[in-house]
Amino acid sequence: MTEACTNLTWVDIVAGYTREISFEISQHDMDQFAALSGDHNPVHQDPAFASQQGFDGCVVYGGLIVAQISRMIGMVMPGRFGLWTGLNIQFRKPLYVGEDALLTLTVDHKSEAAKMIKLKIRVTTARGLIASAVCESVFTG
Amino acid sequence: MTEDEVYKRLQPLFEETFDLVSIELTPNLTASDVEEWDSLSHIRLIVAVETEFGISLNAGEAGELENVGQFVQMVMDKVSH
Repeated sequence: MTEACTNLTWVDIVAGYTREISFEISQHDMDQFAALSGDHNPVHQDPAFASQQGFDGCVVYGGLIVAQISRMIGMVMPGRFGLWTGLNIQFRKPLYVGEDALLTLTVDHKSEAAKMIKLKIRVTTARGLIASAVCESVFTG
Repeated sequence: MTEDEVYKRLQPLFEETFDLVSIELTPNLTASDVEEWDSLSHIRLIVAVETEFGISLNAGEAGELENVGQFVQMVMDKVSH
């Protein structure tokens, strides 16, 4: 199913505006990312190696978490008229395959002069904060 | 807030925005003096200044600025109100 982009206007976007999307990374997603990126690091592919490194399973690629940020920014907020121009992300805990995750976006700053918004993002699971990020997006609408 | 304080707080913002180890901020400095000062870095600078000083500029105010000296004066005016 193809989702439709939101058609938010500049006036619709206000500081404090919050949206959430839930997601779960599957083994298929992991395999596709490995093929796409060429990253076959065993911490993402080999449960035994991941366990030796102290993890509870194969660690989800950071790039797949960034892909969910792309989904949020591109499809939800700011949506159709947003042009993603910056990302600063910290991975705080590993995310595991099959784990339910929630991505929360909040508009932190809206600049009328620059027509740019700064967005704060948190990715959480039942275990706590997985990643936090600050993004910037220019609004072209 | 004094002019010196504004320049001091602007210094790291300019360096980070334009990815420079150091930059000499002078009142007559303009975008044409800094190679990395393009349209995207310009709006990043505006947002960084708004965030640093807790002020908001509108498009008209941002468009009137011709050099760093005018930028500093605008910041001082905004902060004092």
